[in-house]
Order: sequence, then C-alpha cells, then structure tokens
Amino acid sequence: MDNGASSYRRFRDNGDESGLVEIIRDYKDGLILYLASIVGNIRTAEELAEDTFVLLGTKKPRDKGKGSFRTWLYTIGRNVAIDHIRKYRKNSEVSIDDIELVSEEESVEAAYIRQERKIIVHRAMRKLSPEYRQVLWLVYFEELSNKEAAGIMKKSVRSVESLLYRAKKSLRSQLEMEGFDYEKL
Amino acid sequence: MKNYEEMAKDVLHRIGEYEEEKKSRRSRRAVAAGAAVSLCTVAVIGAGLWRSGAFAPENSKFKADMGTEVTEASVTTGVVSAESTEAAVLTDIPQKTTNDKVSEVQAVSGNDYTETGTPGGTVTMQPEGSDVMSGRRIIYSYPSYSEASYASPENGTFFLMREVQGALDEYGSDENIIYYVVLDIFSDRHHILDNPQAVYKAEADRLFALGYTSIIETYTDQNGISTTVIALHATADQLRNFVPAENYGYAIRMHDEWKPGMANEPVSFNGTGIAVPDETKDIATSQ
Repeated sequence: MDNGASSYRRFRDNGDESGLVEIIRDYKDGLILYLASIVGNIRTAEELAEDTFVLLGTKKPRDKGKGSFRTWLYTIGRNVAIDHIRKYRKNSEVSIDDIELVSEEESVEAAYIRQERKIIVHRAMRKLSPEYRQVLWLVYFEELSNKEAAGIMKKSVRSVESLLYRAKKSLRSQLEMEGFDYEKL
Repeated sequence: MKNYEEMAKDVLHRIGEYEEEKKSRRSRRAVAAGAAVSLCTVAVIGAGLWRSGAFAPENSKFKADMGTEVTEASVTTGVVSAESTEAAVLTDIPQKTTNDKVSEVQAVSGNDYTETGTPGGTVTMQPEGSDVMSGRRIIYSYPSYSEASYASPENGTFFLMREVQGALDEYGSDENIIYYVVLDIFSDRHHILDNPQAVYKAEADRLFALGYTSIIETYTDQNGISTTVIALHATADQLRNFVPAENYGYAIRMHDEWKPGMANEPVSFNGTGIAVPDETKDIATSQ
C-alpha cells in the first residue's frame, strides 16, 4: 500500500480533504501524461485528470486493494479518458504539433520526468500509436510491471508483453529517425 | 497548466457543487414524494367517500327510482315546496327546430318504459315556427300518493289528475314551465282502448290547431303488444283552459307516474324529506 492509499482512505472515511489534496499533488502530473498518451492532447488530459479526481471525491469508489493505489487511479483515469473519447470521438484526435500544447506538455515533462534522457524518449513517443504510448508510459516511465500495466490497460499480460515489444521497436525506429542513438538512451 | 493547488481547489469546488446538487435533489425528491403521498391519501379518502355515497346528490335515489328521461333532455333539477312536501322532476329541453306539422318521428328513450315495454316511436306535432321548448323546463312527473281511481269524464269535459293539479299549484303559470302530460280519452265515459290511433291522430290535429304541441307515442312491449298514448306539451294556462272535444271526455295525467311505492324507501329531494301520507283514493277534481 502506497501513500496514496492512506491519503485516500483519510479522505473517503474521515472526510479529510487534505487527503485528496495530497493525492492530487502526488499523482496529478503522472496521470496527466498517462492520459495524454491515450487522448493525444495534454490539455484534454489535464481536464480528464481533474475529472478523475472529482470522481474520486464524489463517488468515493473503494480500492479493492489488489494493486497499488497508482495502478487503481490510472485505471479510473483510463476509463474516464475512454468515456471522453467515446463521447467526443470526432474531436478526440487533436494535433500534437500544436506549439502551445507541446510547450505545456514539456513543462509537465520537466516537472514530472526530470531526467533529460527520459524526456527525449517521451517526446519521441508522441509519434507512436496511442497503445504504444500507453504501454511505454506505464512500463518505462511509471515503472509498473507488465502485470500492472495489463491490469490498467485491460489486457492480458502476454498481450502487453507483445505490445511492449512492438512499442519499443517502433520507438527505436522513431528515435533513430530523429538522430538519437537509441543504445545510449 | 494548473499546479496541483489550483487543481485541488477546482476539484474540491466541483465536489462541493456536486454535494449541494445531491442535497437539493434529495430534498426535491422528498417534497415530491410528500406531495405524491398526500395526493394518494386524498385520492384514497375521496374514493372511499365516493364509494360510500357521500358525494351522491340527495335526490339521486329519487331520480334513479323514477327512471324517467325525456328524449333529448336531461333531468336537471327538482324542487319541493315546503307546503306540499311533494317532489317533481324537471327537465331542460333543448331547442327543437322542426317546422313541419308532423315534425318528427323518433325513438323515445327505452329507460322511460322499462317495465311496460320498449318504445315504438313518437310523432310530435308542434306549431309551425314555434320554438316552444327552447330554454324551458319540462315537468313530466309529480307525486300524487293516490291510486288511479276516478269517475270517467263525460263527453265534453275534462279533469286534471291530482298530480297534475299539484304540479300546477307548485310551478304555476310561468311560461318557461312546460307540463308534459298524457290524455286518457273517453267516449261516453268509456276509455278508448281499442285501436285508438285514428282518434289520437284526429285529436293531435285538433290540439295542434289550438296551439298545443301534441305527441303520439307508441310503445311495444317484449311480447310485441303496442300501446299508444297521446301526450301534450302544454303551459299551465293551456292545461287549465283545456278545450275538450264535444264527443270525448279527458283525464289528464302526468306523463310519468310517480308513486311513493316506486321508491324503496322514503326519498329525500333537494334536501327535504318527503312525508309519505296515508294512501288516499280521492278522485281528482275536474274542472
């Protein structure tokens, strides 16, 4: 059980709003970047992250305790994002070349990822398909196990392993195209 | 991009709004549920009272027992005078626009004669261009508490049955009151019963010429036996100043008989109880 779980329990069981604030503080950026890997738009991802926290605060769902709080939170966030995509399917694909949005995403990257090497990889991921972005984000940046990533993405572990293999291959190709030496990353 | 504090503030604000809305919905639901429960309670009580007869008009029993209904008319009011403590049935008659001498042939409500037979038809003779029934009330029944035992009228005379006299006394000569009466016609003090149609037709023509609305009504019972009567729509003055033919005597009675025995119990009419007197056998006065 991580800190998020205890903070959430304080909020849910005792009405301690500071518990929710702590969750937002600790998980906001990672959730936004993860949701950005799904919806391809950092601003939408931010809104969806906020929606995810509001959902936590209003519905107060119970964590079954099978995995980490982060895994559970990302699962909720993913469901929120998928609902959003279904609702606004036509407008869900927003160009990620938008300078302003890229700039915003970079600020989050800088705050959350910190390591320059990882930031370069994350930027290269923008050109990949949403599924590749998701699995790379969860495994490479969030350092979740294949099993945890499979839980969030609602896929089998074997499917995630396969997806991760193809995602890495695609990422390598992308990095090489942009002149980065993949082996050095 | 929002920092975490800004996002936390927005999230908590939205959660607060959600909670408020939830409370509001809950209170609205409670109010609606309360109103629904109240309505249901009122409906249940109302239905109970209705079924118990608390809302039924006090004269409904009287009307039901009378079972009388005039063609194209509806029973509307009944009045009891304090002096006579007798009741009557009044009917609003809709406007008739017939101008022909024999203006219409129509079926009469079967409700009128459920005991004696089914109607066979009616021939109404109404003065041309007149609109005598428009906006008027028709009185077709009045309690008499007497049995029909009277001396037969001699030729050239007539008399009003007790109930007709009672109705005239009560309702008077108002031109808006029409009395719906039936003529029993006698020849040499013998009631004309065999094949009276020709007599009735001649009488209808004669009375029509005198300004009455005369009606020949034929009813056929379940055994196929027909009964024909001649009826009048007449004002009080027309009744009091009835002009008999020289070769006939006339007993004039209300169109629908009403006797205390027709009700299963003493009836209350317009809130006034009707005292049922001892049975009398008075002969109605003739004029």
